[in-house]
Amino acid sequence: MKYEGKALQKPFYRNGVKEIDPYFPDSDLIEAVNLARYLKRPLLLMGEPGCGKTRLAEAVAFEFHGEEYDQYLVPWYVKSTTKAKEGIYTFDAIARLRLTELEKDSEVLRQQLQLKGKDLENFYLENNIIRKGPLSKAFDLSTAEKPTVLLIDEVDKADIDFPNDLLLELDKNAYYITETQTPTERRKADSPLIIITSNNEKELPPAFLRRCLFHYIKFPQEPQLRQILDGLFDQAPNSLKEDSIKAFIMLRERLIQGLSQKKLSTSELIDWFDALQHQHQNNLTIDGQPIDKAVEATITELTNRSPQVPLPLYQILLKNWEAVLSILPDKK
Amino acid sequence: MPPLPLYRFFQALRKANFALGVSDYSLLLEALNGGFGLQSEADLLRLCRTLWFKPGQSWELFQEQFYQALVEAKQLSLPEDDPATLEPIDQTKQAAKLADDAIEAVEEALDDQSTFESETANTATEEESALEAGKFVHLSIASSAELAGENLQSKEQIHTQLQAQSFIFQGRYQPISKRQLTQSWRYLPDRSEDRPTKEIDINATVENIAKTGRLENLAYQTQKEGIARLLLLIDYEGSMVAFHELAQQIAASAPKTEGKAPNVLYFHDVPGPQLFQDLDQTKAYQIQSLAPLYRHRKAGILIISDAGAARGRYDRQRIIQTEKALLQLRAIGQHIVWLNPVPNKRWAGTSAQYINKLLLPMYEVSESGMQQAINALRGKINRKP
Repeated sequence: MKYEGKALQKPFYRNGVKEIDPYFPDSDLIEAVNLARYLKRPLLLMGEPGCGKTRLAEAVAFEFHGEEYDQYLVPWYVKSTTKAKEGIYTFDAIARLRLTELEKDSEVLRQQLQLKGKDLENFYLENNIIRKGPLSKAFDLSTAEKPTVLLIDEVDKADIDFPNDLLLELDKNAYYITETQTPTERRKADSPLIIITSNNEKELPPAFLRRCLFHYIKFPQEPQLRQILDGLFDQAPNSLKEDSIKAFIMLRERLIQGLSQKKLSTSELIDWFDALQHQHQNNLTIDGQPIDKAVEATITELTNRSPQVPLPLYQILLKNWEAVLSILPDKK
Repeated sequence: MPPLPLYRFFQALRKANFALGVSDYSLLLEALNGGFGLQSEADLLRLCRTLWFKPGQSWELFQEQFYQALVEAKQLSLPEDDPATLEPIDQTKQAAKLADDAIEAVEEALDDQSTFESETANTATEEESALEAGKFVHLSIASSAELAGENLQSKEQIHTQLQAQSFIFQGRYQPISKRQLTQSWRYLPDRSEDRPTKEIDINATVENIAKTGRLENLAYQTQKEGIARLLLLIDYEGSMVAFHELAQQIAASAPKTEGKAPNVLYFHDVPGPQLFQDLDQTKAYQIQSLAPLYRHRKAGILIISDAGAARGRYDRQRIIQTEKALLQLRAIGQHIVWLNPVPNKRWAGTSAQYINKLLLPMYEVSESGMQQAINALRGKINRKP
């Protein structure tokens, strides 16, 4: 099964509600996904925030499984307190203790608790004593014909030793439940596609990196940005799209030159343009100017390198005080 | 048979400290067999990048080694139908063109390097020694024409002369990674705790018996472990310019404690009699004035300074002054340890060697040096005779 990155040219609607936005991966990223699939290795993605790291998993799952994609996409959102074992399973010791009390009055229960190995595991699963985590769910469900996509999102949020605790599972495509002493091993061919994202807030351990393929998602170029806006807003006028992207790119460069720590991201362009085209549709004005004229003015002033640049709906793009001051000094 | 070009590339990367093993090489072969990376030279480089390149490594170096290997492969001119050659480059007719491109790329890289060298040759002596030290510590230096002074925060204080030279230290390739730093600090208990020992505290036991009239429980002696708080003293300016980023990384990763006592103080050359609260060295503390803060429990003090090793100087006066400062510091510090960003092998004959020999334990900034320094902060000094 090869990923081509073509399935999400248009948004996906279910029952009239938009479920997935279009997604346009570049050829490098497509190749990296196919390589990860072929070599059965996890794919580690880095890149600026908002460049579409997390969304790749959804896009791949959709291309592989169409409308049923949500059954095959297993996301695991890592938090600062997440432990590696939670990804495999959790064991509810209190619930198990409660059963010990009930066991006294029930012959059936007594027999069930005598079970061993896989049977005991199944009994525990039925009674919610063992709950499978995303990692084991993805492993269990995945087959060579219908591979699942496991997303381990923001792996750098957890403790620095977190990735090390996952090495065996990722390597062997297997996990072990201590309480029932049941190993679960899958064929290598049945491996899920594992996509791991990181914002590089903490460095990842070398042993973990060694097992991953690594891809850095670059910030999209102008034609790609145009593709994204076209996919999202097919009704909006082309001239407004063109101007917005131009203004956005120039603004981004200016902020980077101004040593701003926070770079403008694709998702911010989408938000900004969404607001702009909404205002444009309803013929609303900003400071007495129609929207398209306001964006044109932004481009002119950015080209002239003016210290003061009029920027409609600046709240969406400028997220810190330095950025506001470097574009709109009169806000001081 | 001469070694295969991709194997040479692999070996060169290994030499350059890329963490690659045999399995990584076979992974590449597996991917090539699967039809990946066969379209063009760029495609092959892309494949190698996805498989072998990891975050935090030098992409420039990676590319350079790749083209170098291609050039060498061309010079060796492997027999055309060697079945052992899995590499597509040698089998395609494009090989000559590719190699030419590669030579160009390498020449460009070399050109860049020589301009870099000639520019650095003009720098003031201060930066010269800093850059020279950089050869050992792998500081990368990037051109930054766009860096106008007005936007720099005064606190960061990137040296004005460096700005004039249009270089900034990126601090990407350090002798110890942030991760290793964080991990090292885990071995330093963040709070001093009274740990019971097997020794019976006779006085306390007798007191217990006197109170209750019988032998109820034995009192054991306790031992203090760890340090209450950590105080970092960082040498700033002068020969330490090259190590600012490294020192800041160490400070950022170190455990911090709340309260009045400072976590980090700065000094220049000699850690005393004044220590400064800010990088601009305007707000000064006398060491004696700090003493009340540590009356109940002393601090672990970590000094970060090159101790004259960066310039390779021996300065008797500096050693004497350092000794005086250390005498004062002992009033507030339980254990005092020196961390030197200049590698051990360059201490010989400089003030650093004598400070290490005569005054206090000194360790280089490396993974093992950091571990030893933290052990020393815990009072477990393991010094070579």
